[in-house]
Amino acid sequence: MAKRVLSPTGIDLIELTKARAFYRRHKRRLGGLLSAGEIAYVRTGTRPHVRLAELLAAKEAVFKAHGGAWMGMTGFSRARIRPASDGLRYRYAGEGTPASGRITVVKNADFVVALAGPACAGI
Amino acid sequence: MSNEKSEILKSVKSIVSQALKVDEQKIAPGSSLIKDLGAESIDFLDIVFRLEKSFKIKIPKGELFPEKLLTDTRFVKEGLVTPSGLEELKKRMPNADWNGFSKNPQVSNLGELFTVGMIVDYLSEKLAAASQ
Repeated sequence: MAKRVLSPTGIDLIELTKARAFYRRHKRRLGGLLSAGEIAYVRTGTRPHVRLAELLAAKEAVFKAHGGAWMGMTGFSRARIRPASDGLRYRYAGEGTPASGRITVVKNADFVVALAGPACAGI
Repeated sequence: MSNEKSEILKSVKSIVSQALKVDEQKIAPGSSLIKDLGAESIDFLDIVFRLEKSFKIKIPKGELFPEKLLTDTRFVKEGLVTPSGLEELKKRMPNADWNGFSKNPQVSNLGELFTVGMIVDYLSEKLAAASQ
């Protein structure tokens, strides 16, 4: 029987009231946390705090998918998220070979949920 | 505890209380931010930014949390902290409770060791160095 390799997946959830409060309090400090492209993604949205929540949840989902741990600003920089025509994509430069994949985002009025994986068909 | 450290602890408790919406009475030096106080990643970021503002300092990447250590392949392999990594972490965080973590040294569990006291110790050293 052929050996099957499980694809790494990770999931994270962020409460939008927290994201809103964080954005209001720290929106001028995002440069130490996000790339220029990620900041542009946040700021060009009609609800920047929702986009910020998407990115933060996405990064955390990526760490979980690849067995790493969020560890401050450096850890956050290791996972880069970018918008693509079919949603968000990530590139992760943790230990070992860099990895990339898709982020699936689901949201409602209260939460953003991000699922990171090599090929997420959506939930 | 020295007077300076007591004052730092008081400020840190206030910041953590506001950031995590937790009663200050429930916050002790030994309180784990994640396990005891329910902090998530966004809360860690919020706390760091609040500390910088409150203490008028800059917390460079890798100083408060041992980030650079965890990107070193001598210290982390396949999601586990190596014995060398554990040694280095113990030097960086001497007051953390390493007994439990040592039995299952998964990197993903490291965040549970971060305590209020760890933040106080870090600030105490940083402010003392700045005043010299």
